[in-house]
Amino acid sequence: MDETLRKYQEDLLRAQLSRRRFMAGAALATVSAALAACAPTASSTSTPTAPPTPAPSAAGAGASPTVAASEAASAAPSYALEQGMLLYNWSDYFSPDNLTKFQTDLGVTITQTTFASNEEMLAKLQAGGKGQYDVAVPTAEFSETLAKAGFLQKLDKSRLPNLSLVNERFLTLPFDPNDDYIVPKDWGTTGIIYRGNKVKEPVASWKDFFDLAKGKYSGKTFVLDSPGDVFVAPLRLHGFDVNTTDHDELETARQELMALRPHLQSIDSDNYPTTLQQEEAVLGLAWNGSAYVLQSDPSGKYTDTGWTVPTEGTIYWTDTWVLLADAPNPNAAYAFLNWIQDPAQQVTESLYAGYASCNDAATSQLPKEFVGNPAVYVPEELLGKLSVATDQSGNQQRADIWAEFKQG
Amino acid sequence: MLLVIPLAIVVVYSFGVRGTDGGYTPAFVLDNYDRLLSRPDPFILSLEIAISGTILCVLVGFPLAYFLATRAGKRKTLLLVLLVIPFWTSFLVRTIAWLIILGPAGLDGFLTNLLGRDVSILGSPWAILLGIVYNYLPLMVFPLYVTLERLDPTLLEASKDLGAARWATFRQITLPIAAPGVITGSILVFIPLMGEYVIPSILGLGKIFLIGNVLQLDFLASRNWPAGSAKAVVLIAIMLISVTFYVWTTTRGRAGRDVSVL
Amino acid sequence: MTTSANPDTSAPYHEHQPGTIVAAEHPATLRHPANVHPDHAAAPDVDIVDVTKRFGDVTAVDAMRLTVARGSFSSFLGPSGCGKTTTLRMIAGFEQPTSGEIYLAGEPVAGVPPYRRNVNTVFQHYALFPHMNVAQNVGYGLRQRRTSKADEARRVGEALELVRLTGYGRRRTWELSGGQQQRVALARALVNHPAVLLLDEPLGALDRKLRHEMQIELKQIQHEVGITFIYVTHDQEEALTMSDVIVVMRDGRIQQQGSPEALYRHPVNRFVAGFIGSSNFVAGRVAGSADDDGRIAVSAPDGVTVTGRLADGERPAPGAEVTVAIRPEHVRVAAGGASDVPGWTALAGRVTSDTYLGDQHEYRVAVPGLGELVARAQAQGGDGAGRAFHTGEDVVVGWHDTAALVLTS
Repeated sequence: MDETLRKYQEDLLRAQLSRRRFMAGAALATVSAALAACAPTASSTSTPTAPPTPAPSAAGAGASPTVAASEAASAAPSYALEQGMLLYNWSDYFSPDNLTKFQTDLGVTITQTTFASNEEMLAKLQAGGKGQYDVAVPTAEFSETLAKAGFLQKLDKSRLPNLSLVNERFLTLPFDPNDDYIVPKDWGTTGIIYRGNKVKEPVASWKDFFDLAKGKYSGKTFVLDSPGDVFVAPLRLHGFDVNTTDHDELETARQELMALRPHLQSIDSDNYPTTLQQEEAVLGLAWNGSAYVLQSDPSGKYTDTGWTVPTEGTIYWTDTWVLLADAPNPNAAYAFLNWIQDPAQQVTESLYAGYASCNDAATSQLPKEFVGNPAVYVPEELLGKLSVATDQSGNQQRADIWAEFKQG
Repeated sequence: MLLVIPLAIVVVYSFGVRGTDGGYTPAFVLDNYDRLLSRPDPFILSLEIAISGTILCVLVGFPLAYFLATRAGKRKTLLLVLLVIPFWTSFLVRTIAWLIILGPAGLDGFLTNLLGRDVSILGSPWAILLGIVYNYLPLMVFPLYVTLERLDPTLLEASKDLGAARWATFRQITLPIAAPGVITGSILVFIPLMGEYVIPSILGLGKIFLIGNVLQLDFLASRNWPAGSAKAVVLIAIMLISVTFYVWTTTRGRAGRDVSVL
Repeated sequence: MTTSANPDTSAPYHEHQPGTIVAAEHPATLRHPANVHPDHAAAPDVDIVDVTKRFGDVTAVDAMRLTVARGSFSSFLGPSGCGKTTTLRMIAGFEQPTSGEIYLAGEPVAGVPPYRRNVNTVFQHYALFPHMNVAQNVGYGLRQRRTSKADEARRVGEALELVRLTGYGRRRTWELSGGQQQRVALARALVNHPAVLLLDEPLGALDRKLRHEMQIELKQIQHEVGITFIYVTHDQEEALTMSDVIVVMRDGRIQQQGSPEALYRHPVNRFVAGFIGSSNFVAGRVAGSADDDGRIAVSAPDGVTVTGRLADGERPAPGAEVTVAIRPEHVRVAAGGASDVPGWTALAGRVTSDTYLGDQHEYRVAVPGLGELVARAQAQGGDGAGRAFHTGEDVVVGWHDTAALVLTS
């Protein structure tokens, strides 16, 4: 999956989060608070009861992060924690509760600086040099770019025992095959969004999407302005690999897309939640975060927003924590990267951001409505249908198809 | 030098090939131009939109500038400030505001109710032209305002005195004297319009594909710098040719009537 | 008072010409015999009837009545703000009267726009079109009337010849001198053969010498084309030089109208007397009743009595406040003591300044009760009668009774 697309996606989701919180007024954490209220057991159960989690996680889940740190200390030389830690992150993408809790648990104060896109982060790192921050939050494939540019340091996994809690789906990603750099944060999918009050037909697959878009919802359908996402639909419709470079397969995709094009209301990655709210479009190819945002809208008018992970399969993305080269507070950073994977913190983080956790132990502790919502968590039976998109931006055939598609 | 070096780099890049991770690898190939010539549509559409946008800006901007320069009186400063105030906000915010104005809660919805059938200005070239007039109008109004404000009102009286009615006076006196302002304003509007990509993305609902959007795709999405450079070179050439042609025709016509540009 | 005064200076004032002082109600007398249009029966070119123009609270022109005879050269003279330019602009059609009516060639023109009036204007700053050359400027009015190209070229050539700018057609207007630009503006207006040509202080921007040349030239051109000229100026010398008729205006009202000579000799009030030429003014009260010739005694402060002549029809009551106006050139200066000569006023005074003007001496003489009087005398060669006086010298100043005008307003 290419970086620009990632940037768009992240921009959008950040903007939505900000918008959501803006509309909620001063109560920034309305949504997570509401969800926590729905599931009062979530927080209370987090610390004492973690037995259902798999064996390797038991120690980490049961133990407090401080214990984990002392465990690491016992196995290796002792690390003295620094007073503070410098986090470089998207805005509204780290729970304030966790920020406070980290201070309470480990006595380290986190100072957060925010960026609006992966590119902005890279530019700031390039301009300011190394040693400005300890931990950053790039999108998975962008961490590869950062690693190649020498901005990341390889992780000493002996200091991150809680990494064992991470679902293997988010490890050995093509962007970091040996898991040298990445600590997964959240993840999500590209799929089909629709307004439940208007679209009563079953929407289960890409085939349903194409049929409805060209049929009943012609002129009321949008797709993302992002080739990496849009190509997924026709390719998976025909059972092709999402990363295919095969000429004939791409030609098939082209024909599908061009047939779809006249029926589209818009090709847009930025304003589509508003478009859906106003019912100018009722069906679309989108990112899952926006479905959750609409469902959680404080007005309560969009709770019926539907999200489908298509049965033919789709792509998923991952955001990651990375340790920056020459981090000024490495010990605090390591402590943080391990601490944040503790299920208690993961639950808080997931509810705050509205994204699925990469941590299985946390998943089991999250409210059922949250985990059962396809707009947040991919249904069990479809997990096997997910793929990781690799960067196809250099493919000329794809570029030409996309230009033709945009041109209409 | 500051102008020439980036331009030279763009020209050199336009003959190269994309690196495996994007960017540029030195080469000398004509593929980028070759491919471009087979896909001229965004260029043609951009040229059409830029020209009609410029004409619209003149048609809207001239009366406005004329009013400001001659009729506004004490309210002149206030009106000029009002004209500028929206431009203290970001281009994006202003354009998105039009998304709402034109949207189903706005004009499109109103027209749909009125006519009883679906009307969608959004996503059409009309929406883009509206966005253009709104965003680029000050670029047209200010040079026009300056020339019109310097226009000696007794020249208009002299013209009327000599038998020319209102329209004849406008055509023979006001317009030729304001011509430098029209030319300056047109160039100021036309050039950025040729590279415009925000307005088509937003008000065109992503369905209007102009050169600006093509360049954005090439440089940012595909990271195919050579392909983007080739298009940029062609774009610059188109702008140079059209601006030269425009200035040449407007001034030549005037020279024929023995009229000076200044 | 000595009798040494130059005899030719006192003589003309005995010949009173009642007809030359014209009230606004008698427009027919404005016609200057030399320039009256052949078509005597036709309506006057411009007839202004009870016209008032207000701008907000300001009354620029107040109940004006005026008839301008065909073919005359009339000047509107007055200080700035007197309403002369406003009147001109109403005739041109740039302003509409608040009330009253203007007739051009007998037709009311209320609401008729400037471009449909057979009137052209020469503007104060010429208002030449900067994007046209000289010939295009001059031909502008013809082109508006769809004149053929050949006709336009011929008439533009004639007009340029008239203003002595033949061969300047291709020039840029800004390449020309101020005087040349002025001629272009004149040609541009005259080429249309308007019934009336309006000139709004057209010579104001020129230097003194050039202005004088242009005055003579304008007068010649007017004579040649026979078109009615209405000329607005605040310069009395300009008005005197060119006009057949001068209309003196102040605060939106006509003070007096008549030939330059009539206005000079018989100003009806202190304003006109002061605005046209210069005068010594002595304030006083009527001390008796007038005799058959209109002579009347006026008592000034300090028991001084002066005698002057009343304007026609004026019969102020005894004790009424009046002003006596005496032109400096009518004030005689003589050495020695005062002597009582019938028909003359003579007062003792002292010279406070003497200025040699080349052809004249100008003296300022302090007279008890009257203040300082200005006297101007022809300078004489050798030791002639008109000897020079010097500052500090005791002298007698005096004037013939008919040279002193008694003004009631």
